[in-house]
Amino acid sequence: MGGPDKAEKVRASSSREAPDLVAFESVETQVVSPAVMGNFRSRRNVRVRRRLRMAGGVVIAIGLWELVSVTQLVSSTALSSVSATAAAIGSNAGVLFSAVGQTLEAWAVGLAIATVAGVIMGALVGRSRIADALTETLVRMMRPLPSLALIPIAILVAGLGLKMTAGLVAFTSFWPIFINTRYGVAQVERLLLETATTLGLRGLSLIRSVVLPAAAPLIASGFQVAVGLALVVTVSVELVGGTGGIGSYVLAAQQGNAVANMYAGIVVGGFLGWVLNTGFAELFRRLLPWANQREGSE
Amino acid sequence: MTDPILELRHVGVTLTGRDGSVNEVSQDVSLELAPREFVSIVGPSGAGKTTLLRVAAGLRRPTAGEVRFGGKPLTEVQAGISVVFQEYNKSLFPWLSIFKNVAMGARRLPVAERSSRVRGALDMVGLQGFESRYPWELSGGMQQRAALARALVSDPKVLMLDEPFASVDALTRGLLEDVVGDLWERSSFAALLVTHDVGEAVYLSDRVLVLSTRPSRVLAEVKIDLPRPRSQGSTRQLQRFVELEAQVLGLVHQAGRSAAGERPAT
Repeated sequence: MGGPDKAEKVRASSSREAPDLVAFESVETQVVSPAVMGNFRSRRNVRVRRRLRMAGGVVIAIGLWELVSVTQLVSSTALSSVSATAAAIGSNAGVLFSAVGQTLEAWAVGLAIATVAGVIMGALVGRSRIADALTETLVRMMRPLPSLALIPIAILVAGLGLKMTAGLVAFTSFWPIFINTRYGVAQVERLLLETATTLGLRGLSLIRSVVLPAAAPLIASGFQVAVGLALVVTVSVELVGGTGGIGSYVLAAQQGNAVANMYAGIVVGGFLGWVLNTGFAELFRRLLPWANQREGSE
Repeated sequence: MTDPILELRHVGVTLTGRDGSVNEVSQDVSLELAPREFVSIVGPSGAGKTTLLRVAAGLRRPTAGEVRFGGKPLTEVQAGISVVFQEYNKSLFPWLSIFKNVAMGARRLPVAERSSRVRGALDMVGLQGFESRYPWELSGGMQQRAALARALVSDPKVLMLDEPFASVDALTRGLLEDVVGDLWERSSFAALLVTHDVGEAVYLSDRVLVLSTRPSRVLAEVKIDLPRPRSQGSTRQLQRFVELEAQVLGLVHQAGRSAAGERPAT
């Protein structure tokens, strides 16, 4: 047949070679062979075993942390123990909670702007060879710009605060969404488009009903990359600009020599990242059930 | 004879590659399809059969000649012509259930009629009970049935089939041929089938057209005077079927040889 093979190859190479494109599968789901897919019980066992191992990794990391702090391998002025950190999280729960809220606000606003802009512009550029050529060089120039280097400009334009943070978050997370949408829209099978044409779809309804759904798995992968990036940028800007949120909390704790509080902020930030990543991975797994499907079972 | 529902008049197709290379696919192909008629196009591989079908469907403009549908020039895709492609796994929408896939074919129908028509089409192809499944949950044969249902739900005047059974196993192919044959007997559409399977063309058609290699022309037309209704078991046993199949096969081979330079006798 040749067809499904090719689609697979595109997906596989996008996850392993091209750093721009991150395949949907790479996040958590394992690649499961068709033979295994048929056998539901063993598929579930594989998943349970994987979950257990993932939890094991966390336990091992915590153990190592405790070992390093108990043996004073790193001095207690630079590293708090696991128990002291846990206690700090407990006693600062309220402050941490509102810091998480501030971080999430900037994160969500920036990511929302990036998503809307990235999908719309990606779809336009992906559908037009002219727009693609016009933007190609710009994209290659703008994308590698570290967003932290733009903080001075952002402060000049928007002043310190939510607007500035969200703007930088939007700038950074725009790229993976835009690039994946552009690619996803451009590589929709011609046959699928022709089929839609013979069914009477054209113009906007063609884009809405066929092009975007067909590109959805790739758009979702781009979005998932953006989720992580957006959090990194939010916390970094908070840390540098002192604009509130988890980043500022960590900075303040460090400046006040409250090492345990500092680690409390870092752990909470890490946990937040994990929750967001896992949550969206699961959401997309449910929303796009065909994304990981091997086509055509004979 | 009644007016043809679909006509290709001296159609020529020349493809121009991005690098400027020119490839003449078809040259002066003329054919007529009467209402309710079943016509197949066979030919050696590379004869541009699929390109010709795309032109006939309005998906591509011919570079010479014209296509007429219902007596009027056909310049773009139009209601009344449905197409089923070989690669069902790329022509069904994986994000839609089977029901919604078929409903996409009913977009031009009045809203009130749609769901009953979709159900009717699914019944016709034997997919009742699979409405809420997704294409990728079904076998290849069932996916192609769904594609057929989607093509027929709008009650087209012409059904075009581009190698529709080439991606399924032989047993499924026989079953699907009969599904198409039965539907054609019971409905009022004319069918234009492109295939490289000579037996399939003879089995289903009223007429078989043999194309030459590129640039293709219609080399020969064979009338298939086999009795209807036909069935895999009995029709393919008939002496007449065997003769016709051999005749068409001979013509296709002759067409293939002509690629090497010798022109076939006309």
